[in-house]
Amino acid sequence: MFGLLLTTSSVGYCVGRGVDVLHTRGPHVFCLLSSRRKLTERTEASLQVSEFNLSCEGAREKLVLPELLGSIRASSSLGIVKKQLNRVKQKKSVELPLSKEESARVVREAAYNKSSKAIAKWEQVVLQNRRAEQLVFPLKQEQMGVAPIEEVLTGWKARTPLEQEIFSLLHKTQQPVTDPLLTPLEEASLRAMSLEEAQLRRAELQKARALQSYYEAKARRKKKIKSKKYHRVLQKGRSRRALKEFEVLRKLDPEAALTKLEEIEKSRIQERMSLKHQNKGKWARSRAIMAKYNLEDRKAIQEQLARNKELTQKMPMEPEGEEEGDMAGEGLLPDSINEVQPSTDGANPWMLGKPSSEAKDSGMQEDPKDPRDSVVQEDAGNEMSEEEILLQDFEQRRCTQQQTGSPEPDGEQAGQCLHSVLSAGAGEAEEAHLFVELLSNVQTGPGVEQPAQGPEEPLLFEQLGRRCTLEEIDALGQEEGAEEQERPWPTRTLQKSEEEGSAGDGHTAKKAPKQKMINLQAVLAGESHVIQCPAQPVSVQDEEEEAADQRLVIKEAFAGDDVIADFLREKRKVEQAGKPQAINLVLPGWGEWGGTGLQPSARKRKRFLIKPVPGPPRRDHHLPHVIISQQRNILAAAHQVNEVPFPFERRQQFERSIRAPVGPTWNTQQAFQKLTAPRILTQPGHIIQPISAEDASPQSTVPTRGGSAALAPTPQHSRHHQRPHKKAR
Amino acid sequence: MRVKVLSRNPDDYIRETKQDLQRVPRNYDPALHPFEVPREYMRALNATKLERVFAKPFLASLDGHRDGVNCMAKHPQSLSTVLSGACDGEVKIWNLTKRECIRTLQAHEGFVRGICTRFCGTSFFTVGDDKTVKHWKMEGPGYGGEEEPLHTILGKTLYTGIDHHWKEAVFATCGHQVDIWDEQRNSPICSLTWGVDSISSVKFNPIETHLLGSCASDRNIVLYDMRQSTPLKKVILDMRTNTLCWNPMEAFIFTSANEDHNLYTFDMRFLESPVMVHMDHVSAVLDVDYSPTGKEFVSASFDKSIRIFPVDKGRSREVYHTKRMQHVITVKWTSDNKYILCGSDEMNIRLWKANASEKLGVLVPRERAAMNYNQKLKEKFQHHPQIKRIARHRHLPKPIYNQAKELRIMREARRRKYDSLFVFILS
Repeated sequence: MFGLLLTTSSVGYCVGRGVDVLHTRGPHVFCLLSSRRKLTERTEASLQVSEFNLSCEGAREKLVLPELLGSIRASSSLGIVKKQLNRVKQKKSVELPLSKEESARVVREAAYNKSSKAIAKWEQVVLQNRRAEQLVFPLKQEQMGVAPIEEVLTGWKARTPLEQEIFSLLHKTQQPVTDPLLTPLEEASLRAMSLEEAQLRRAELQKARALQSYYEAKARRKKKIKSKKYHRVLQKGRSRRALKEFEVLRKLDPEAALTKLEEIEKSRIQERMSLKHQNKGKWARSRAIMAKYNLEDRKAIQEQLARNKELTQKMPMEPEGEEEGDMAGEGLLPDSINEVQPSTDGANPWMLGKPSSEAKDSGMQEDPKDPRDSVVQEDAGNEMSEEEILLQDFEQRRCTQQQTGSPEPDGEQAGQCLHSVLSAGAGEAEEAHLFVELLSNVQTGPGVEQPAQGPEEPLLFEQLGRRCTLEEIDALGQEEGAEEQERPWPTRTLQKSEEEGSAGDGHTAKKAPKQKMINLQAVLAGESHVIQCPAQPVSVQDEEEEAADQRLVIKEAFAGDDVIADFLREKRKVEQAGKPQAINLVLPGWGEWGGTGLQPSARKRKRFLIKPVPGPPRRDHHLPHVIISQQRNILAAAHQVNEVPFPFERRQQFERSIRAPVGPTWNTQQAFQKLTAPRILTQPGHIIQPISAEDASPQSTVPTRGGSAALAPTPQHSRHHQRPHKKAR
Repeated sequence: MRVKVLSRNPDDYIRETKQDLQRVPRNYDPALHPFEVPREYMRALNATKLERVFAKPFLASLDGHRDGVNCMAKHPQSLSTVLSGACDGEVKIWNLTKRECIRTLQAHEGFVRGICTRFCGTSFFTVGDDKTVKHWKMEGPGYGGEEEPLHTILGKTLYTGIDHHWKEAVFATCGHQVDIWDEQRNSPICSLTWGVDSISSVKFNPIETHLLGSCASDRNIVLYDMRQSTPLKKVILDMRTNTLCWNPMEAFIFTSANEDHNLYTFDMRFLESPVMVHMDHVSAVLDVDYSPTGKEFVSASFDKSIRIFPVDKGRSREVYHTKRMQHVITVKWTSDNKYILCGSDEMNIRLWKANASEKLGVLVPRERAAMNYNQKLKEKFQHHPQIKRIARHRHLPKPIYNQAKELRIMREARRRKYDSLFVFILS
């Protein structure tokens, strides 16, 4: 470009002391080349233009091409040059080439992207293999089996004359080789038989239609029946069937049963809302009039009333809502406790542990907040917490009972509460075998933290001791058992309400310490039950006064019932149940006359009644106000799982995995084989080659469900790992 | 009058031939077989105990080398053949069924740095400290013949490792750079460099066979593409990686054995963080090899033990050690997924069972069914405390045990410190 410039313009080129200066005539002056010292010269109009006299006006100005072009506009002889210059003007300068490192980096990046994209095609295969139930190695399995006849025939040619003759015959009759294996003649004859078929079909259709009309008529007739008795019987039968089905369902599929239960509940509510059994009907009114005189009618009306009562009874509230409410407010007294029981006969609300509908209906209930507040005000610190525990315990017990749906006799419940504190899984009390509890005693751990912990703990328990013989290994297991036993038992208590509400981990975390804090001494021995009777709103500030009043208040509140006597009765019952039973082996006959109305002799009865050896004294023998349950089997506990193990999220899942037996004793041979099929099958003495595209292709044709989003591996994030810093370039 | 007579069809209880199995009528009514869980639990417990009793993984020791075993190679076609190179330049070929050396040759002066077999199994390559790559026939010379390599390449620099392509007549050496050679030529087809440090190991990907991985002493792992003849990506770790091994069933997964006692499993496409960190060794991990099923791998360590890791677990499922085994330099998992070979400092190659308590030899179908059943039971009841305790128990020699304890304490302390720092920052 510079060269061009020099040739085109009438420019002198001077070199003087390292300074190159270019001049033009007129005001447009350019100069450029680097100089240490600029010579500025004055230009004057003169006739003679010397190439050495060019001055550079304003050393900073740059040469601009259009200006140069302007100067040669006049002379037409320079047309070619002008064109060339124009072309130069349009072209852009070439960018500098990248440095070697940078270009290498670009190449590397491109190559890496390309190859990682290419290798991603294996993803489906890899995922499939990871998920596969069973992998059979080596992957290239030779297909053994009978080849289809067509293949054999096509590969076989008739060579001998006999064969050729046979083939020609076959071809003559158009004997088909492939699937239908029927000649056209045969097919035609088959088609001819269609009349019989059509007749048969017609007859069938006729029969079906007739049957349908019979059923319709029957249904219509049934619908018209007005007999109430008939309908009642029908209804009863239906409900019985439903109940039976529910029982079956409960055994087979507890979750479905639960939904079913909800459905039933809903229907009950609907019926309750409807005006049925309200004793407003014609029949009921007439019966009511007649009831005075007729015993039968009276009975009927009573039955009706009972039914009404049963239906209209309000069921206790949902457990979750209650729990949440408890957690939210500080007042931990459930409403049912503070409610008034107007009728002192019948069950005690304490014992019942269930809000009674009558109390609500009677309208005698005070504002439920007041007593709570008063309790909160009065009590401070420890006393309160103890009470809380007690009350919460009642609450929980009730919840569990509602959930399990096993109505127990009311009187037992108070005792049961205490049991639940003491015994692990008190519901499953009398289990004959030591291991049956294996299932039941799983406690739900903190569900969210588990997965994080699970894989982190070492798979091996490495120790210095060698355990070679069976005895030593046996001792190892015992050791573990001993460790188990040493653990404090409260951690193992099974709270069904906790399992149910496994969603909130905070709940369980909060509850655990509270469970431990329950002190039996404090619960029963102390006279400081500060449970307020809302019928008498108490606003006593003074603590001494309060202490004096307490007995009175409680006495007043529970005038009709004797809690302590109930408790003692309860305890006696438990003691009785815990005692070993005598075994009666007396058989009538055998050495004497037998028959109806004949008793075996006293001697015989004495001889064959095996009296049990009295067991060790109960631990609560000397504690009249305490029931210590000895249900928990220490021997079994050593074999039980403490917390829900890693891959399982809920206790039920884990239990289900354990429950189904896999052995041949319980399964058919085929099922057994299927259940015990190993994950990886290898053949001894066969070399397993790395997977290749041919191995993968038949599998990869099967569409897999995993989306591409799920395919990216999830790196194990744990900050405790000493992980190196990685820089991927 | 009808007389009812008990009658049975003899077909129901008489065998047709003597070879037939006796028919045993079974009633699967669950009421007749109570306590299924406790019974299965007992069976599982017994199976676990027996597993530990029968856990005798050590099978044989192949001795004959006169210096530490530095490298090993599997024969691609024969399960019973294995090759090993020692620190004195000797290469031995072993027959595993007879447990004896079938051929010895003095391949190099100084160490045999690397050894690899050709995919067809007819020849093998060695590299040594004498800057040569030698190509040998698998069969020895006839009686009186001299052990001569088929081909010798004299290099300019030291070679530290070699690996052969899985399908083509191409092999790769490493040292100053990664060289890709054609078997027929005396000079490399291409040389791949990135950085200047010496490269200790190079491995071809067994599935996508044009990919290579190498690890250098400047703490990095570099991946190359042979077809594009360019390096692809580099990962820099905290400490040096000794070797790496590609998963033979999952094309993009490889595991590297690191000096910082851990193994790192990477996904080739996502190199920012490892898929899994495998820890349990208490000293530098020197070698790693995948099982041919790609579900597990075995690692050899300077702490005189070898460990087996499941691919998806961070901790080892098995540890093997013997009193006499010194620093384990090289380890291989045989191609039938049954055995593990390890070569160590004290000149021996040891043969182990991959599954410590497995019964060797042919199994009767009933035996196999029982084995499968026991396996299933152990899996089913693995979370029960006694079974867990028994199944997890392993004996460790005192030095390793103490070192592991120390490391655990250190890790715990570090964690505590981190936690307290975390809390401090939060508060």
